[in-house]
Amino acid sequence: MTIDFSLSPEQEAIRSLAHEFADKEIKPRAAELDRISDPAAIFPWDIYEKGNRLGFNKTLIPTKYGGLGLGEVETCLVVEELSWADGGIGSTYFVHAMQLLTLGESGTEEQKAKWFTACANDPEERFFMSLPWTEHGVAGNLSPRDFAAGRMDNGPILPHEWAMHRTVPPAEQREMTTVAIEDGDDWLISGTKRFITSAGRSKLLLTSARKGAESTDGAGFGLFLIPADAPGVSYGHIEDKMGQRLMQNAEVIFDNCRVPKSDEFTNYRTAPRVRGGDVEVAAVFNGIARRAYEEALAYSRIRYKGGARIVFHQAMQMALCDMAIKVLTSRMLMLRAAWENDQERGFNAYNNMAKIYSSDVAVDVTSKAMQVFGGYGYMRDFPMEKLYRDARLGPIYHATNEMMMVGQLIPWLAAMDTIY
Amino acid sequence: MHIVVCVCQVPDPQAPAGSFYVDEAAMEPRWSPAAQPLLSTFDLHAVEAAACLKEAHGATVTALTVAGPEAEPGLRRALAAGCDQAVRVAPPAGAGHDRLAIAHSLAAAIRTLPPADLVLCGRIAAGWDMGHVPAMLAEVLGFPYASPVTAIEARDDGASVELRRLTVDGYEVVHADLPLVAAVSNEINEPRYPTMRSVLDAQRATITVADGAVAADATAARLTALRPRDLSAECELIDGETAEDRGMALAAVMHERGFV
Amino acid sequence: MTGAIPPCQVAVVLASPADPVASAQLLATARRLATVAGTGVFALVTGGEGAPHPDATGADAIVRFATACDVTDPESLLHAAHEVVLRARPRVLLFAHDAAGREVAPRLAARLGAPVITDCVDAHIDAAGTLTAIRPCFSAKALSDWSVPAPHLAIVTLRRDASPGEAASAASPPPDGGLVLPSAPAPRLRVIERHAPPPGELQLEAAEIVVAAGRGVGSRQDFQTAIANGLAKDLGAAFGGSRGAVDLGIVPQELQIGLTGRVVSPRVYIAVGLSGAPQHMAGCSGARTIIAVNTDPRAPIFGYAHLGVVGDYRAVLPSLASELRRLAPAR
Repeated sequence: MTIDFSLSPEQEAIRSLAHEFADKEIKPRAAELDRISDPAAIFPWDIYEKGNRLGFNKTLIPTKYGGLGLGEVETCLVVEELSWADGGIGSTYFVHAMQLLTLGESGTEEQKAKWFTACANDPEERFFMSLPWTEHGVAGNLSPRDFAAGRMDNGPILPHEWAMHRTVPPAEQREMTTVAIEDGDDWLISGTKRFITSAGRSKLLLTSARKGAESTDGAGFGLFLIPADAPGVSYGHIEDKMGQRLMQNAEVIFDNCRVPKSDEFTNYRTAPRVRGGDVEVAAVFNGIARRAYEEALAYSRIRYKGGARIVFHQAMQMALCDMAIKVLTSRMLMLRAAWENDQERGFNAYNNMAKIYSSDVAVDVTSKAMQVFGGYGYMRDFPMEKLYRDARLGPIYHATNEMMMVGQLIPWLAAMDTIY
Repeated sequence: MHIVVCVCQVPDPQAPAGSFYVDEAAMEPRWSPAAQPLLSTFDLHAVEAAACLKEAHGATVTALTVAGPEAEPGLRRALAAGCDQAVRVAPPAGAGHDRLAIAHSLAAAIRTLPPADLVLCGRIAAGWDMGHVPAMLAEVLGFPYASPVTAIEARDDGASVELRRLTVDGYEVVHADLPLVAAVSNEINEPRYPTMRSVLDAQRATITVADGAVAADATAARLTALRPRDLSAECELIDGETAEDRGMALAAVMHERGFV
Repeated sequence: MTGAIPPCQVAVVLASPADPVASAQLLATARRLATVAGTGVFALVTGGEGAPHPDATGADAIVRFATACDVTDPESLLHAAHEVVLRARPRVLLFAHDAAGREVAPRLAARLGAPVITDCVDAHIDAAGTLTAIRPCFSAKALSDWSVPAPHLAIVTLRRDASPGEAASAASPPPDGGLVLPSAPAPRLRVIERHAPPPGELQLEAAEIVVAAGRGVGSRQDFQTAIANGLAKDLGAAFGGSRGAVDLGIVPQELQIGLTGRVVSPRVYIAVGLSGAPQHMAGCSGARTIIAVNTDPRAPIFGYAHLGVVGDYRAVLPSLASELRRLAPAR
């Protein structure tokens, strides 16, 4: 009898600290920061520095490098609480966490020692990582749709086999305009990446580029660790987004940026993929959904219509029940996925499911919560419209839900007869 | 310098009003799970004051509570926020609401520790809202007492402190020789957040459980009734398209009802 | 009354000569208790031999020190109260629930091993001589009754009520009870400086309308402009703020309203940018009408308020003030 849904005292203490921070430091300021019209003037460094000082950007760094040595369950708890106060801030931490996971799994010992230590000991407490993958014509995430479509016709694949396959599909490689050209012991990288989270704020870029000639086995695709202030790196347009405005997304421009071969991320293709960051995205949207539910419940308790508080109106009660069920199930799925990851059992599609479900739930719950608020929900005086905008990123973010289903979930499901 | 910080846990004072109700038959308060037990707010300020004195002058800080094991998360928070060790004394049997028994138990525990130079408490704990224990503790220990304290600074001699205490309409700067019991108010500092690392370390620390409880005195005032008092009101929200419109509409209502 | 004070008296410790309303309320309650118990009331005054003691009007006798007692030093007052108990053996000892009372009552209780009930809103004695005092608790969300049977001494502090007190029955100051206490020992704490704000600000406790600022007000500047010199001035209201606002420096410390600050009971309480933490609400639970202005419709204040406006006070207050001026130009 080992099943136990309670958090450990350590996890509860961490969750409670993150919540306290979110409640006192982020929540009172999020709406005001969100209203700043210039996207370049929003990024609240003071909040991020304070959070990093507490360790929010170090959860996944092993203790031997000065980190906290925690797992994905704990990271999700932190990201969810921060996102409860602001989805954009939660997303900054999610993207960073995803890079820490990638570095931890696929980095060489030297790379890990260098960059984990830099993050854990940054005196400025401004260490975030960015992932410059996305280009105008190339999706940023792993999206093996060609591969998946091809394999589906040839019978099921084993999850293990799928997990090992980590190439960017040939079609996307061809479309990738950022190139790496060999120059002695270095690579010279040129090209432009778009929508990159924390670009211009982060300290380390994990950049993708096409190496030389086309390749069908993925060997022509490279990943490079590049300090954000390296010569040849500059930052362009800062995106003016619908929501999640407290994170920054910008263009990263590489112009003959010189990268030593030792900074190439060569293990990436062969390291077994266990962790993908999908569950941390789920944490972002679970935080937003839970907040929307809380807001709606509280409002329904104080708002009178037709002589009674609207919480006593049956239509509201059904909406609240529906929201509560979705918030809770989504959170349970996230914790299950994070727990599976922490058991190091190999990649599993619970992560995809958690991301897909949480983002749909967040859109649905924020929309229903707005309905509870009636006309006021649409007004900027009230918190709902921001939550709705912040939630709406979910089904698009990281990988669109459609792409994640077709590219990642289906291959995994197809390899199994049932799901448990 | 040895500083003892006396702490206690209270149900989250920020919990929504609906999370509290009164069991009149049992004469006991009840809370829904939304009101999680937390270290009392003023005690957090007391812990921070101790941590600041420790940083400035060097000190050993002991967090002390008279409570059951359910109070251990609060002690761990105190450890994470700068206390060096934590001691829990099981509550005296049948103490009920006898605060003097608590004060005697705290004093007994303090006497088993290395001599205390400074005993810090929060000025009051949310709940029964009595605020008796710090003053009683001073009396039981025979120490001078200052409350509510909004600043405290150790003198170089290590044997005295200069502090500020609030008066009805201002404050006084007071010089006090140690030992002393000081009950601190929130103005004294802004408690820092513990870091995640200190939170984790505190979770792994050992809490000393001491047997120092002193039996309650039968002469304490006896609780004979506890009744709820509904402060909540049916809030009439003022309608209007813009905030300005709502301001004008409020003026009309206030005028009509003779509020002004 | 002259000579030794008979037992079973109700003793009142008058420590706030600056607050005659509180003194009158204390004496009125004492009189009520004494009448039921069939005994008298004596008042401990802090002035020395020959000092006037107008605030003791209503007592049957006074007790004083040989030399004046420093009323600002709780330890001297503790000493005095202790002496009174030892020498006069009163049944009930009443203090005002002010800074001194909050400290002295529990200390005296510890010194004597006697029961203490503080921050009471009422007290009575039944035919059997049992004293029962009523005090709010749980941030004023509950009321509790506490009893002390006869003949035990009960130490009680009484909360000041903003409503006008019961009138004192006697017109002239009471005679000296003949009990003169030895002077208090030197205090162990040495006061180096005293700071008091300039007088003249409308007394919060006595105000009919109070405008209170919360964290949402933003800054001291905004508080001054929009509230102190704005709405409060227009309404002739007193002003203060929540602990959160005090912590952020928006509102001066001495104007903090709440369980640990000042307790007010105005006719109308206007909470601006104030979330409504239970401890704050405990400080204004006596208000007859609470009006909340807050941008956050989820703020707990809307659960206590009778009237609520969701919106930024920077937009709401000016239009509220100008409309009030239009509706009642004579003000």
